[in-house]
Amino acid sequence: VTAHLQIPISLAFLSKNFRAVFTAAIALLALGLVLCFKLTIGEDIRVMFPDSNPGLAEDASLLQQSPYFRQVMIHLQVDDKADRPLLLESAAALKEAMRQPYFNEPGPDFGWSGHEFFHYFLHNLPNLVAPGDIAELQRKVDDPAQIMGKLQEGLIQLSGPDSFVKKPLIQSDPLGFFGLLLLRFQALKAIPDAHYENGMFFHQEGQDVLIIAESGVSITDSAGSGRMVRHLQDLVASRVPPQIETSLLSGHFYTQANADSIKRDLAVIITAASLGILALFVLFLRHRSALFVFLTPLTALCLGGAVLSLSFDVVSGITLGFGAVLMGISVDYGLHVFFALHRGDKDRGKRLVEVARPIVFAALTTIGVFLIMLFSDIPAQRQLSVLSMTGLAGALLFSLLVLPLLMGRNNGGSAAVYRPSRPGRRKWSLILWLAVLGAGIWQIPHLSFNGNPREMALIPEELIRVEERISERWGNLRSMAMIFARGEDMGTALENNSRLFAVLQERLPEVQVLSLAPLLPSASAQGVSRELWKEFWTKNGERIRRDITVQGKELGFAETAFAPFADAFQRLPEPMEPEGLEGAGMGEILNKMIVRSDQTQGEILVMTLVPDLPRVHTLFTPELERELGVRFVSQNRFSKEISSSLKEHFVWFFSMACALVVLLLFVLYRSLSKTLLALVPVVTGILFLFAVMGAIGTAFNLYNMVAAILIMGLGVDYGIFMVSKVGEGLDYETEKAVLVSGFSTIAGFGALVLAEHPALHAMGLTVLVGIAATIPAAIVIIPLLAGRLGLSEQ
Amino acid sequence: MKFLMSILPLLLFMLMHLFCPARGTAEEASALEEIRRAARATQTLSGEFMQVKSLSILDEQLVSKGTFALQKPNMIRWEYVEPFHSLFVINNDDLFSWNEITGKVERLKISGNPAMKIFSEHLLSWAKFDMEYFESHFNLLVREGENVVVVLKPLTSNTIVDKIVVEFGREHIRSLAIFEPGGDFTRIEFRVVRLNQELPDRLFTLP
Repeated sequence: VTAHLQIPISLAFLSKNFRAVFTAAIALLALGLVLCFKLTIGEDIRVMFPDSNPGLAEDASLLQQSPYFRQVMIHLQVDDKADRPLLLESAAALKEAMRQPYFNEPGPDFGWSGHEFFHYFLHNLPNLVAPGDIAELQRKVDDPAQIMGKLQEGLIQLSGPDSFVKKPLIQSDPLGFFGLLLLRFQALKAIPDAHYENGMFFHQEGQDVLIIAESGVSITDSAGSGRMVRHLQDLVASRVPPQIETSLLSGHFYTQANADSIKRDLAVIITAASLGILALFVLFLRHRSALFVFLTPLTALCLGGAVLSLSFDVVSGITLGFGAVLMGISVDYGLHVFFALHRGDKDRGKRLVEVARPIVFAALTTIGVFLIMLFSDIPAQRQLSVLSMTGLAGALLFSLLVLPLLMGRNNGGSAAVYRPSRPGRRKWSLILWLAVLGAGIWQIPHLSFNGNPREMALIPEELIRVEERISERWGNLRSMAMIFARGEDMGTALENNSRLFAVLQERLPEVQVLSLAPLLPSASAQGVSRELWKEFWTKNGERIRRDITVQGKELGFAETAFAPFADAFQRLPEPMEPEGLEGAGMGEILNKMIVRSDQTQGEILVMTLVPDLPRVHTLFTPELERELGVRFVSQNRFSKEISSSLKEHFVWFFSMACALVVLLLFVLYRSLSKTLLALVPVVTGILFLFAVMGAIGTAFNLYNMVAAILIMGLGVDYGIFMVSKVGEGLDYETEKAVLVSGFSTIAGFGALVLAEHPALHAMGLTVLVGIAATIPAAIVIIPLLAGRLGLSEQ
Repeated sequence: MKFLMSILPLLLFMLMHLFCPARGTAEEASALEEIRRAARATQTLSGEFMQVKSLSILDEQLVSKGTFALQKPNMIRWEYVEPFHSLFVINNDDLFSWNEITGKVERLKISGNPAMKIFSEHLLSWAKFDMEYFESHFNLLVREGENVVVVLKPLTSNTIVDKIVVEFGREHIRSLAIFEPGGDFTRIEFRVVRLNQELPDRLFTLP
């Protein structure tokens, strides 16, 4: 094997041409650095979604229209009813103070009970009536007793102290036609037990007020979220007295809690990792030339970043985050060169040639694994592939061509001596190893994938209590699913929205639906209503006018008392448009329900809110969505689809990576037993990880999957180095290099296990568990198995 | 129903002054000060009233009779017994109404509409006889004669109230009249007035 895969590196040649090598290396690094600064980093989460499922990216974009992303909820509550005036006063003062730049100015809203509102909808009754309404009207006007009763009721209202405001309403609608529309208004009542006014909900029991405001601060902006949260807390402190219990809830609070947590974690992690690296240096490296080893990962990152900037216009921040894993893998190459060369001048050239071979093997297999990612249909994985392949190639070249020159001439250092374990220990080591493999295999069916971003976010106990309190009092408005009726223009969008509402009423009659459709039907639905009304009014109009005039006269009403009523329905109204509803005081709710943003590329989206329930998910199949021209978006369904996509891609990547690694190892070693032996650390690490995750019930997520890739990359490398050591008798401290590499990974990544933040903790735990099994598998099990298989040359 | 709230503060204000004694001085400030002093001393009011409404949509004036009760700080019962039986009760933030035609009790929250905000502000101001607040909403004109007459004109013109005229007699307020911009008006005459009598709680709860 050594003969036909010898790496032709000549230390003497490099030394002779060190000026040229340095110049080339520095020029390349300088160029890389310049290109790295040209990187445009994006935060678009869509790079994480497969091209083959464009619906996921679209859903992610539409989810940002969710109340969860935009709204700030403030729940004010008093225990004592006597404090109610104070509650109202404080709520109004707080609402008034919530202004730009942190909160959007509320749109014009006259309330849902003003004159404009009443007259607008009464006037548009012909645009809104359904066949059932016409039947109800017919019953009213055919019964003289009902007409008399309504007129008497009007007279009673006129006798009351508020007659001056009731009078025009009675004149315009003496028979109470407006009452037909009351049920329709329920379809826009987000909270059944409360009424809405000026951006505030008032609970019917009278001791709770909910202020809902919209913030212009994006919940992905952690600094802005922090400022907004502090501003809001200051406003509450200055305007709400202590006897009023205040609960604040919005996505910004989660962002701030997570950002604060990560800041705290970083302090702990950096301290722990620094101490760990320092301990490694003192225990294992103890030489200034070892410091050059750490230039290897920096070179990898620099060159990888440079090629990324040349290959992609915008690079995902998530991809760059993976740079840490790239550094973790690439530092190995430098470590092995260091341990091969640091003992002195004798045979340095020979040792470099020897160590170059497993290093190249390791780099090739890892690059091969990342090559698979280049064919992934997830954009971020393709970016990751480019970053990793070029970075590792750069690290490989640096380790073999530049690092030996930087290390110069060294003296001292003990020779690596491989000492086989004693027979008794060997037996127990093998039993333990087999037990780990068995436990891992047993847990495979119990592994799960979780794509819910919420599961990976830090949610403080206080926020959970606030969520529960608000949900209990006001319902779970924030987590409702959304259905967007889409159209190139408003007419088409409203048409689809009306058809959607009809389907929901027919198939899910028991489900509460918040929709504009009952109050702003499509043009065709309004046309049908107008025809119904025309027929009704042609048949009954004259008689109704006569009856109310005659019966009104009996009660003392003037002959012209109800002229406004007759005038109102003299002519059919024009079809209703959103602008009309805005004028009637519904501007704020229209802004919430109709989306005309840049993200929709000119499309108009009309939103309907429904509970996020499985039976609603089931109804909205892709076929129904196409038929109705709608898109169903829910956080639950989105999480499930992400989980499914993650699982699918992880299984695909894992299978392909395994196959490629086995193939490459076989090509490199030309020996099945050596190939299998080299796989021992990675298999052990992954199976031990499976065993632990299964046992403690942790699911795979985006973060620990990345960590699992690190374990795979390092595990294969350790296998290659140890098989090269025990099978081919390399004369350098391979175990120490593997140990230092493993410990440095544990110090760097494993320190994340100390984090409070779930995502960081998950990543740390995965690396800690995986690498903790990989190191002994490489150092102890490979030599043992090599001995048993007769592969050991020592 | 919310519009009831916009007039109730006015009624409340008037009712709070039913007890006012006859005035012999010509000083407006002194008259108002007496009103305020008396208002502070009053906790409950109850009695009977007769109401005359002149509305353009009715051929004849609408005459109603009924009873009222008020208890500080914000409980009111306003009940018509002729020609129709109907009732309004305000108890802190709750508003109940009932009439003999529908037979249904309608329950609302005072905070359920914008008028309630005004109501709350006014209610507190009237109860405290907050002259500063009062003067910020109305122009006050006090006419002295056999009876003291206070004319309140809204500082900003509106379509609801043109002016309110309150007449104080020798023993108590005699009447109040609310004039609308179109010429319609409501005049309420108070017949029997009892001051600071203990009022049963049931008056301010649901019938």
